[in-house]
Amino acid sequence: MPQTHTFKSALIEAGFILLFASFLGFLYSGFSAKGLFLPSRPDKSTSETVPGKFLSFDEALALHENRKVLFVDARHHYDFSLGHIEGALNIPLRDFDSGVTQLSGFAKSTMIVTYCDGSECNSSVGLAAKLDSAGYTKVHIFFGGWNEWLSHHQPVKQ
Amino acid sequence: MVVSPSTGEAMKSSAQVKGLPLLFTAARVLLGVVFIIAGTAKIADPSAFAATIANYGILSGMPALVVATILPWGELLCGVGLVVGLFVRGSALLTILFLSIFTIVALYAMMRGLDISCGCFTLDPLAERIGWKKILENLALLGVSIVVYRFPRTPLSIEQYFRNRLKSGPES
Repeated sequence: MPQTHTFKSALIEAGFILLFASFLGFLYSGFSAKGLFLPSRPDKSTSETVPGKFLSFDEALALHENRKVLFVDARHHYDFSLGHIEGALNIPLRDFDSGVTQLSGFAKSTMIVTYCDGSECNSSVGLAAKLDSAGYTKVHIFFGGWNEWLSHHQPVKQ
Repeated sequence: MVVSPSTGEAMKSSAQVKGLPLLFTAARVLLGVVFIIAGTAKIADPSAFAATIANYGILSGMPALVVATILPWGELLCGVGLVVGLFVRGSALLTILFLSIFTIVALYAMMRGLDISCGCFTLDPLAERIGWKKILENLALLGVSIVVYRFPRTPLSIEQYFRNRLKSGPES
């Protein structure tokens, strides 16, 4: 049966390509420390509340209870609309220039906590960097993000 | 001669029709170029691609990252294979698989009313929203993939080069 034979050989070729793709993908991620190999907490030693530092869940919660702290969600509008930390604003990283206008009413010294989904995303860090360069002096990152917040059953808004 | 496109013999006979082989070569190279572009656009940043995948609401976290790590390289390898004519059938089989999955996933996302970016040729979350245009694009490429799968023996390919060499002079 030539047809089953060719399908079988095509399947073997396809498997080989996928295997090689996996090899290259993991190799690339490993060497560039991206994606799967992204350090889940880029700087663990500095989780105190100093501007631009990573907050643990407890620190983020403590700040959330202090109503003067502004939470900013770096995720896509759609994810934000499905649920977000209570009181948070939404400034998707890619819409930063238009989104940052929401902050015009706040002083540059306002304490801001950015977050995204969690350890698998980076936009909270990117957003914090952009806010920092936009002149906001007290920007923190809640790296555990939405996932960690949800897992602790903390106040959310839909 | 009866031409039945499903057998190797028929491929040879259809390849004798003037112009057709080059048309199949064009289909193969075109498909390859599309997949090279799609792959390279996503290779550099697996995290960003994983976030795009997660937007579809089917995979998230680690599984999305694994897909984001492997898929762009798979697309690139298939693309290169199709352009140079190596592992043509395997590559075409994979593009059929990929495009079928992409189409189903995009339809599923549209059904749920998601307004998300496709993540096809760019990771820019604002570009390329999924929609009927994307579905049609996918289906057109799926058609090309099936053609390439059925007629993998085309001129200007590495496989064909070696096949011709083997045919013209077996090793002594």
